[in-house]
Amino acid sequence: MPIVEVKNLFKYYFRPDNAKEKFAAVNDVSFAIEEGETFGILGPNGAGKTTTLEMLEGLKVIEKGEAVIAGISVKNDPMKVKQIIGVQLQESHYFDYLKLKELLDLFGEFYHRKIDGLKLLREVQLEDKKEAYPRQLSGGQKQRLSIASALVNDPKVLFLDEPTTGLDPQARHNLWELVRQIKAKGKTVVLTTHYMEEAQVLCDRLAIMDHGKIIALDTPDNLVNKYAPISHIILKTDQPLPDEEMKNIPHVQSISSENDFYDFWVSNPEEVLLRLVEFAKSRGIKILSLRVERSTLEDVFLSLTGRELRD
Amino acid sequence: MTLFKLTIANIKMYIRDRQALFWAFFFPLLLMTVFGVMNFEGSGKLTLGVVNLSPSPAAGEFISTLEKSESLKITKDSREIEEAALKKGDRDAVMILPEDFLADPQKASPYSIKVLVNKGRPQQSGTALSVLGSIFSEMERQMTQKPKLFAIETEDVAARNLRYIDFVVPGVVALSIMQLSIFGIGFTIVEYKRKGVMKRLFVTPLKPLDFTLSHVIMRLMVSIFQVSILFAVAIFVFNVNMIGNFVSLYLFVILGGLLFLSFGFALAGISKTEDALQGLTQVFVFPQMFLGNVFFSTDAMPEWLQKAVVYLPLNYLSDAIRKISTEGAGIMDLQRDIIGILVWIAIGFILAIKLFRWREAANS
Repeated sequence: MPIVEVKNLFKYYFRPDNAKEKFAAVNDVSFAIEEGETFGILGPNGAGKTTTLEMLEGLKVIEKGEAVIAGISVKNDPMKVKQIIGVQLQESHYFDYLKLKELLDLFGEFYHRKIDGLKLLREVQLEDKKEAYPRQLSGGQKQRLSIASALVNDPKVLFLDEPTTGLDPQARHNLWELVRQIKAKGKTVVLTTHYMEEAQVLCDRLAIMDHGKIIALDTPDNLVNKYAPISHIILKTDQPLPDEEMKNIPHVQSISSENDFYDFWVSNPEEVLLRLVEFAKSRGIKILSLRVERSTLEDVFLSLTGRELRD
Repeated sequence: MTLFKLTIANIKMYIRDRQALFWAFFFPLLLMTVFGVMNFEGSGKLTLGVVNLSPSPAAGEFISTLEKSESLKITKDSREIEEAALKKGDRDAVMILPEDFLADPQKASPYSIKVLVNKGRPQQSGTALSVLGSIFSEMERQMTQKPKLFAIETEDVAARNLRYIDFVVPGVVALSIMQLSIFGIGFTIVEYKRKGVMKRLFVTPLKPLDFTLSHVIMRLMVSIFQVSILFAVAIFVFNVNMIGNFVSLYLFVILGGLLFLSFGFALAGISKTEDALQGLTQVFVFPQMFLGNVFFSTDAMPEWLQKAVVYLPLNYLSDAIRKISTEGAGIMDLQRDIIGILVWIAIGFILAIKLFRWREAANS
């Protein structure tokens, strides 16, 4: 039985440019998440990711549709759901005048739990900041505190809303490592992101969302294979390659060349690679450089929507 | 337990917030000191300008007798200068002693003494004239050596002298309770809303009632502490006579706190930003600062206004605290104020419940 089940979720908002007209910010969204899974919702800003998440967390009223977490209906029993979920909001602010450890202890109290704030801080590598105030933390540290505060009740499901937005690459990698550790403990994680790399690295399964709808849902690899099956083999040789013969290699879709570099658009890179190397060997052609580029989720999004996934 | 821990946390946060401490303690003390040091009643003496045209030494003696009078402040100068001072409002009256004043002991006709009075200050002029009148008749009695027929004995019946500071301290105390409660809770909630703290709290199982109560308890404690300090300074530094008992005083601190806290929650509920809150709260607070029986008695207002302002929330509170402090009133004497405050608390509670919504606060 899935731990999170979402069925035909809708959310209507007034249009920002026309206050009389409503539009579906979340449009018939359904998915199910298994226990222990890391589930990602990937999409551009304004796709409806955060609204979907906030409906699951009880923040936004579910007017139409159904959301069940660990067998509890969010609509009917929000207090019970709050007990078993952990939430990191997109922008997290905390009390200005509580030190980190005090803050976590207080949050534990909200769940009627006596927690070891220090241990939690250690888990997110903030132990040396236990006497600091939240405003003294860097962006990455704030996000880690935010995750620690979401873990005080040892939640069954952890919601992370764009956990790395606005972080520098190093802080982002740090946070990924933290999420991986949480994942390794068997926690179910639901996260939203608009970074493909993050989705690819962290998520077991991925829902791609655009204009309030889920337009594709699968594992990252399956998504790539299904929607962007083309890979690139880019190589440089010491002498020109015969055009016709190259085109006849199976799985080669097309070839372009630029500055002595050949770019093979292929659907089965392993097979083509083998044939190319054999060909070069038999003709005495030296391969000076070779690079294989798999398609990414960016290409998946592009092929699904015709747009690039950028801010 | 959650309530207890959250209240403790709130107190900690409050004490660590220097700015909040300034407004709660330093500012009202400053206000009180300003009013304590300033003297709005003036010296209580009448300013009498004397223009002496008489060369007689007896006239000089007469003036020095006047100068000994406790109720008069005498200035001596030429007629032009004294008249100009009178016109400027620097004198209550100007007396002109004629050239022949007391020059001839055998004179049969009365000396004509001209007194110019300030028409704009009829009360002071009237007093000046009657003081002068009694001085002259006493002088006449002595000069004609008639026996004294009447002797007025005065006795102070009012043992306590109500000074302005005695009046203003309870007002400042009531005002501080209002300011601390309404601004304190308002700004905290709006800041929480704007920064997303309310949102973060919403996704925990924290009960809205626990959240609200923890703030109410913390604020009431701060108010009690604040009022204690204000009264301590008033009593020990400004010799204010607080003759009522502190139990009734604290009861009103709590009642007043509840009243203004509920309005604080209501106003915070409808304000998205601190600026919006500031505006809304000023509309509520500002008129009451001047009409709420704080710095001056409502007795000075036109009658129709007096009838209206007695219903202001702050008016009930300042009236009650003043009566406790200056008259030693007990709870039974203050039923009108208690009822008034309770009605306002009921209104405030209803508004707070309608306007301060847990989910809306989290989502704004």
